[in-house]
Amino acid sequence: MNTAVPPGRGRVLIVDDSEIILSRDRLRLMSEGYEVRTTTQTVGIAKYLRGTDVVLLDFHMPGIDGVAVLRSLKAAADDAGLSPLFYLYTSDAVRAGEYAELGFDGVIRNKGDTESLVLQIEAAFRVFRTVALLRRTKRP
Amino acid sequence: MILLVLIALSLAAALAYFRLAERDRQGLVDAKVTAARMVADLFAVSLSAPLDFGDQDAIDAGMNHLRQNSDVVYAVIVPTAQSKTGTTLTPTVLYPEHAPLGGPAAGPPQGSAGKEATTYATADRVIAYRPVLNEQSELVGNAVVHFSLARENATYEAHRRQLLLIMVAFTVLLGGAILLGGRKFILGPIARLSAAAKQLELGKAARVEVRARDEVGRLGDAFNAMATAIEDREQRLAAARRRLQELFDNMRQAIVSFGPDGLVRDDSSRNAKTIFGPDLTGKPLRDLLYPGMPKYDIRLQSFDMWRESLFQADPGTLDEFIACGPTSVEMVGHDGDQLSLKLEFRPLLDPDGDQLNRVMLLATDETDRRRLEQTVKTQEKEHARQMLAMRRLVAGGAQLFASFVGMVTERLARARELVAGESEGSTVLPKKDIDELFRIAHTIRGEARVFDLGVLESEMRAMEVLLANRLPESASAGRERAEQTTQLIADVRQHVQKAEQAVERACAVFIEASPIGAAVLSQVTVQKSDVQTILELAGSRSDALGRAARRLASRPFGECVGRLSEAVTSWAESAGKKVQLAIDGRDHTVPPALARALPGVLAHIVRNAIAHGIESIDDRAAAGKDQIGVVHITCADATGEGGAEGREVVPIITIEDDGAGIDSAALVARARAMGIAIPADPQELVFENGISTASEVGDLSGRGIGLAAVRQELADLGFDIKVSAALGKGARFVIERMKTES
Repeated sequence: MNTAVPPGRGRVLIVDDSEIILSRDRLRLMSEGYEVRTTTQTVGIAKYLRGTDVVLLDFHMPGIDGVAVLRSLKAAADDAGLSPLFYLYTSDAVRAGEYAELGFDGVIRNKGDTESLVLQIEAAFRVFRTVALLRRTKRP
Repeated sequence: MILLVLIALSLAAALAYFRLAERDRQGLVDAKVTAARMVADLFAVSLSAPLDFGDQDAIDAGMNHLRQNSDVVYAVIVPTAQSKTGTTLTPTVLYPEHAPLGGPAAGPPQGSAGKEATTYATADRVIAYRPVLNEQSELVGNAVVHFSLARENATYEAHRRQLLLIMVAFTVLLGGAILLGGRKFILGPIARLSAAAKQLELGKAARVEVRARDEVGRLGDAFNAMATAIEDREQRLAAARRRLQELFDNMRQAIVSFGPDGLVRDDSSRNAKTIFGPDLTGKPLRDLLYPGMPKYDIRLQSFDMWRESLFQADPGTLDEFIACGPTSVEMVGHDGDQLSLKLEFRPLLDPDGDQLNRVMLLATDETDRRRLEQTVKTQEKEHARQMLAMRRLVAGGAQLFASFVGMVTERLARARELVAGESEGSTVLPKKDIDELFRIAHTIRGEARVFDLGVLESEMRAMEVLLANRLPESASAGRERAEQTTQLIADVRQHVQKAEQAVERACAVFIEASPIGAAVLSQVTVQKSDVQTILELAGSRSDALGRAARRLASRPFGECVGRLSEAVTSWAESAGKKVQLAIDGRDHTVPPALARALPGVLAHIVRNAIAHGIESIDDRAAAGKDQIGVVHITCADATGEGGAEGREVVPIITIEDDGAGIDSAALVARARAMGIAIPADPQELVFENGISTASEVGDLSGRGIGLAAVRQELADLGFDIKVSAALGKGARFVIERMKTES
């Protein structure tokens, strides 16, 4: 498990089976001011949800039931009263379109393109801030 | 309205008609009643004596006299008392066939007092009742006379028809006059007003001609005044709009506005049309900012969510919602250029200030600025790289540079030996010498690249080319070949000389660049020579002293790869690829001779990996690999004892990449074409001279000689290099000590 630098634009948790991808994405996002946690593990990672704003999950890690992992993480977040956004992390355009059916809040696509990743993470955090603002300013 | 007037007129005319007709009849009837009264009075008076005295003949004569009156249709005389003569009279009836239904009304009408004369009219008769009184005012009889109203009724009917005709004609004429008048004085002007209003609605100039000074005329004047005011206001609005558009067009931002539906409104600046296209009105703004993106893209979803939230937000929180919007976008503009836009959103409230009406987007084209920033960043990175290189050179890499200088000097000296040993005009240069010269040039070129010594590198490259072109032919003899060999020798001497000069200059620069450069060089030289001396004296011993001498002379592996990271970046950029270098085991030590050779060896292998192993970005994407290729160099202790006390460290160095691997079939085909024997492991062919499956020989590598030179150089140091590769997955080179047979 790699954790990152002092607080910045928000905290991201990336779950993927490729150390190279995790390493590259961590460096790129950190350089943009995000706190980044990365892991190849899918068990026992619910504790890392605390303080996390956005979770990127590679749904199709070999030998791993992505549905179970996502459900487990969402259940853990609910139990702890947390509300991070869960995003499918993929380079598969077909799978990307199925994110809602799989239970994700959205999709971060073009896995492997760090520049695209930065732009999409920025958009994800805009969604996160908008949702938080809506909750706070909700009219009675 | 006119229809109502006409209907009212018709009703009034009908009413007047009926009233007039009624009065006309009443007049006729009244006249008849008056006449009937007089006749009845006279008749009654004439009957007084006859009835009183019972004179029937007189009564009959009176009746006959009454018969002469053509208006009388019925009469009856009824005696009511015994006559004075005692004669009994019977009622005398005139025209009994005309008696009214229900019997003659011989007596006074009901309700009258009996002695009262009554005359009244019915629908077709005037009935006169007269009591007949004698001189003593005694009632002697009743006389009832019916006068016909047939003539009056006929006259009435005739009058009524005339009156009807008159009234109808009057009504028609009056109605026609009203219609015509209305058409001319009301409907016509109103129709003209209506047409003018329609023209005004269509935006055209409209005026009505005012001819009358009545209410309609005043309405026309009012319309003309209104039309003038509207045109004036429209002109002022158009002028204001033009000024605003000029203002928009002269601002450097592209300005568009959109409403709750996310569609662009029609007030866009010229720059907006330049960037987004000419026809913006009605288009979704998100399609302009994110063209061609799939609908599930997070950027589209984020924008839509933000837009909807913005227009539903309380005006007091608008600033916070605006801050959640996108601040920049990378897009392909209308003319196909890649653009970087800075985005600023401004809310536009309605006049009451309690509702968000529209949002204005000010998009600033920052493409040039960002390119400039990127260029500066790249230059800064390059500068920092050079500074880092220089720091490494000065601080720690100085030793490495000094080692390099020493080795290059030795190699160039050897090269000079190989060609200086031949007298001027010599035509003989054995193949083995050519091979060695080539290896020297190849090795120095690789190492020179690591230290960015461009002149030295280019001299060695040129020498390589000369020798490579000669390699297949050097075995053959002939006069022409001899002449070429003479020239070759002369050229090689020249390149060696220039290389030596380049090394001298590099040393001088290093010394000039660092105040301690000379001291470091001399110290390193001194240090190197001392250690070299110890190694020479005790290095061959197998005891503790020998091992200690060898350990003392060993160099950290990190020194051998000092500048490789920076070099990899520039090599990858040259090849249009993305490559990351990972190094482990920097602290492991390697024997000094190997340490001297490793920079060049590793540089060669890594450059080969970048040139031939790591695929292009597109090919890697097509193969489902990450864009960035990885080269991983590891130095470990082959003994596994990590240099434990008194133990000698034997390094094993691995260079691994995740590229395309080695195409063994292509190697075999090439070897067969060159007449080279195929080894048991075809991948060993990469270490054969002349084998290269590269279709082009580029700057980085590809002459098929390098790995052969690498293996030879390592073999001279007691190390071997082996390769194992999987096609499509990568290659792995392992440098390890040769196994000695016991």
